[in-house]
Amino acid sequence: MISAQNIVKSYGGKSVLRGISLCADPKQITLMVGPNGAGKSTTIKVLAGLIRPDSGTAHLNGFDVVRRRIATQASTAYLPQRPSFHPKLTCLEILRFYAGLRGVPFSRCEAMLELIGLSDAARVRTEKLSGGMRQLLGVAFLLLADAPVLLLDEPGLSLDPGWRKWLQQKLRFEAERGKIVLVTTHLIAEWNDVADRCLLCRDGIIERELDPRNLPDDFDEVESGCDALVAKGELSPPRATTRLQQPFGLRNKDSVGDDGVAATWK
Amino acid sequence: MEMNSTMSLHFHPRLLRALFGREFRAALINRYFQVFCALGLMGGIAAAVFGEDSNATAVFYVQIAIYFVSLFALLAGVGSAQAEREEWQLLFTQPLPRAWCVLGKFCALLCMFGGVLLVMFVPGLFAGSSIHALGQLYLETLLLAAIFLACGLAAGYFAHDRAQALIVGMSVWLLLLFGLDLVALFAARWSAIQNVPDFWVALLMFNPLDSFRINALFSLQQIPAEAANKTALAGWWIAHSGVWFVAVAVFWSVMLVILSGLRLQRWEE
Repeated sequence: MISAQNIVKSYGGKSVLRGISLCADPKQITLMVGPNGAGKSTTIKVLAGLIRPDSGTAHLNGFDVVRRRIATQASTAYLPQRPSFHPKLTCLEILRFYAGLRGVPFSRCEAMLELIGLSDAARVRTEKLSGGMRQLLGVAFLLLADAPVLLLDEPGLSLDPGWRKWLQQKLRFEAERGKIVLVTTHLIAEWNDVADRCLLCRDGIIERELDPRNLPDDFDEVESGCDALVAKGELSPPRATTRLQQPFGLRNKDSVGDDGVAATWK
Repeated sequence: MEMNSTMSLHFHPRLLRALFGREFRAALINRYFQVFCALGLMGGIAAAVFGEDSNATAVFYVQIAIYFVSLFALLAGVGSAQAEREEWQLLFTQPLPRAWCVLGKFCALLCMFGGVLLVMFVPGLFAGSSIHALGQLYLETLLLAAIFLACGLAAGYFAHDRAQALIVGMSVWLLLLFGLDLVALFAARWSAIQNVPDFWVALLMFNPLDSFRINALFSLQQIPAEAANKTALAGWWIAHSGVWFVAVAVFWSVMLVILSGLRLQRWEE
C-alpha cells in the first residue's frame, strides 16, 4: 500500500505541500482531486521518487520512498502530465530501452504499442508524434513493466474522450488485478463512479474524502455552492454539512457567507 | 507483485546494455556525430596524403586531435546530455541509480569515439607511420576525447538548456585551448611571477590540451630536449609526459563524470 504522513515541501519559501497525509490500498483506484496548485502533482512526484520532501515520510509497499528510492521505484510506474521522450528515437526504441532497464521481454513492447493503437507508428520518431499520440505512448510506458503500483498525474489531458474512457477501464482492470492505482486530476466529473476513493487536495493538504460516486463538475461548485447556500440562509450549517458532504466536500473552515452566518465543521 | 524480480535490477548488466543500446541508436542519427565521422575520415586521409613523412603525418594527427576531436567530443557530450533532458522525469523514475545514466552514456560515447578515431587513424598506416607510434597517439587521442566528452556531459547536465550548455562548453574549450596560454603570456610580465616558473609549468600540466600537446610533441621529438631543463618540474614533466597525461586524463574524466552524477542525484523537478 501507499502511505504518506505529513509530507512538507517548499520551493523558495513557498509551501507547496503543508503536511499531506494519505493512504492508497491495493485493488483500488484512489483519486486525488483538487484545483490547480493544490499540490497533487508534487505529492505524486514525491511518491515516484522525483522529489525529496522537506519532512514527513512516505512508504510504498513498506519501503521508504526517500531512503529506499530504487526499491520503491522497482515496483512503481509513473505517468507524468506531459510525457516527453528522446525526440530522435522511435516509439519502439523508447519502449525497448525501458523494457531493457526493467528486464521486460522486448516482445511486450510491440504488444503495448498494439494495445494503445500505435503499431503503425512503432518506427516513427517521437518528435513527430502529436500530443495525443505522445500521451498514448506514455500509457504504453506506464503499463510496460506491469508494476504493482501505478501513479498517474493528470492522465488523458491530451486524449480524446474515447481513449480517456478506455484508460479508465484499463485502470479499473489493473486495480482488480491487485494493483494500487493513484490518479491525480482536476477534471473530477470525468471520474465519477470510476474511482473507489476520492481525496480532496487543496492548499497543500488533503482536506477530506469525497464520495467517488457523486463528484461535482468543478471546484467552483464545491466552493461557491456551499458558500452561497449557507450565506443565503437556505441551509443551516449542520444541514449543509450533512447534505453537502456527499456531493461536494467542504474545507475545514470557520464562518462562511457575507451575512455573518457562521459555521464550523469538518 | 513483481517486487523480488525487479529488486535485483540495481547492478545488472542489462542496465548497461540498455543504456549502451540507446546511446548507439541516438548517435547513429545524431548530426554532430555523422559530421564528426565524415570529417574524421577526411582528416585521416588528408594526414596520410599531405604528410611529407611519417613524422609529419603524426603531427597532422596531433593537430586534428587538439582542434577537432576535442571540440566534437565536447559537442557530442553536450548534445547527448541535453537530448534527453525532457525525459528525465520518466528516466529517473526507473529503478537504477541516476549516476548510472551518466556512466552508461559516457562509456557508450567513448566506445563510439574509439571506433571513429580508429577509422581516422587507419589511413596513417598507409603513409608509412609505425603501428606503435600511431597506436600510442590513437590511445592518447581517445583519452583526450574522454576528457572533453565528460566536459560536454557535465555542461549539458548542469546547464538549464541547450544554448546555455553550448555556451558553457565552448567557453571551457576556448579557455583550455587559448585562454590559459594568454593569461600566462600577460601575467609573465610581472617579475614576481617570472620568479616562479614552476607555477606556469603546473598550470600547463593540469590543462589537458597542453598536457596532450606536450606529450605528443615530445614523443614525436618535435621539441628540442633542452627545453626540458628549464626547471625541475618541467624536467620531470617531460620525462614522464606520457604517464602524466594519462593521470590528467583520468583525473579530469572521473571528476567530471562524478560531478555530473552528483548533479543528477540532486536534481528535482
